[in-house]
Amino acid sequence: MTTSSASKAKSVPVSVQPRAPDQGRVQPRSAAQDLPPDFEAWFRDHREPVYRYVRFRVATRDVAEDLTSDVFMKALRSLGSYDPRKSAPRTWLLRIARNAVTDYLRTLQRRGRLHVSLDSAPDLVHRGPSQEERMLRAEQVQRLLNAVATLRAADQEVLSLRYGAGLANLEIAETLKISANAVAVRVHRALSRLRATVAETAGAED
Amino acid sequence: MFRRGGNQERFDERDVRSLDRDLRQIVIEERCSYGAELRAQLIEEHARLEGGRRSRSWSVSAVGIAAMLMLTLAGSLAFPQTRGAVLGVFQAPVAVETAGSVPVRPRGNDPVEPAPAVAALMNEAPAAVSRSASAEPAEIPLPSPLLPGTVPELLDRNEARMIVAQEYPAVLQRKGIGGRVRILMWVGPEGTTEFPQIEHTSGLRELDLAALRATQALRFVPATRLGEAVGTWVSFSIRFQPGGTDLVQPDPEYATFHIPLSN
Repeated sequence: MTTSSASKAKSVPVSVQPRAPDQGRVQPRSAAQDLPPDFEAWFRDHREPVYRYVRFRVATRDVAEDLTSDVFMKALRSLGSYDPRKSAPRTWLLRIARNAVTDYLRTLQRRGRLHVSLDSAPDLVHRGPSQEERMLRAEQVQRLLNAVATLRAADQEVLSLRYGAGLANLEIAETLKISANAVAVRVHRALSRLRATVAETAGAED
Repeated sequence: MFRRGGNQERFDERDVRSLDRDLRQIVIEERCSYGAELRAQLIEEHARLEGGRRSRSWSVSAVGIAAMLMLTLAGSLAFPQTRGAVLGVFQAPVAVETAGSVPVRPRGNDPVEPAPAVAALMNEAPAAVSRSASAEPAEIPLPSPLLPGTVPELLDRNEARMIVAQEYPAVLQRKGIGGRVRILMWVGPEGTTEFPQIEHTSGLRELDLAALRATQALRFVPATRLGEAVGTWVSFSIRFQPGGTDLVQPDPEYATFHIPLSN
């Protein structure tokens, strides 16, 4: 109740009321002005892996942002249904993300939605030591991502979890509900198919 | 059955490792303000959810209190000793005059004289209102949701048709196999294409690659914003059909129109 009275006191215009000596201090925020503490920690620790996973699977930054927002909104709304005994928070969030991406891709296929963005700079770049090297490698990155996009969905899924979200095999296993060995095999096969596609593309361009 | 030699396998393994390394080197750069924006949205949503929960609990409490009052009232009416007192509450109010106090009149339609200070304010108020009403409302220019401009258009449809047709693999054409590939690419201010990428695969790698090759050769009239040529991301579909190909390009309202590439 003290917080609500504090917020009422804050809402009085300063020109009308003389400034109280402690008015300049940061007021403690009420619960509604913050995220639940657990969720705050999840947001801090897992937003980037979730975003990177989504971005690896969809074509543009705008779509990745929208889908990541949807993931966290959905997680916030269904926070009560989360069971820590069943899965770790990151696994839970990535599962929501997987469903969101699958739904999006299905909708895209059904409606044939088109997209135009004014975002100019490519956001998937090479980890080069200098800007010049990044630019030089931009084409290589694009070629690689194009090749990933031609793979089947299961291959894209496992590569996105590994190289997008940056998960280890055990974590991927937990997310996909398969064994770690099966993940290793899937990753290797996906990379082999990717290699074949890259070689084919290079051959066609030559 | 063809069996690969040990050297070939080692070579493949090395390629796979190199791919693994390359993929690890890819950095996904997030828009710097995105995290803060999303957090603000989540806080807003959380406040909305909390507000909804609180109002639900209030409405439940209100219903409970009303039910208790009704029960108490019904109980009181059941006993003759309390019935009179309860009914007395609901009787019409009468003027009560107490020593040294102003008589309280029952509500009626009689005009009530305002206190002098209030009357002074009431006399001033219309003038203030009329002053503000007579003033012309200031015209506030509203920002346009979209900057005036155009989206890229194909420079030469015939040439585009030829380019796409040339890239359509002959083997697939002969077999009557077609498909639709959606490509996303950057059309620079000069009208050239860059960073083509597959937004949605046709399901056939050959067609996807053909679409990518065709895209690189396409030339566009660049997009404009406020009369100036600018680069923009464009998404469109190429449909390979044995009888001819189609290219679907977005218009400014994101709707689609077909540019038939076959006569």
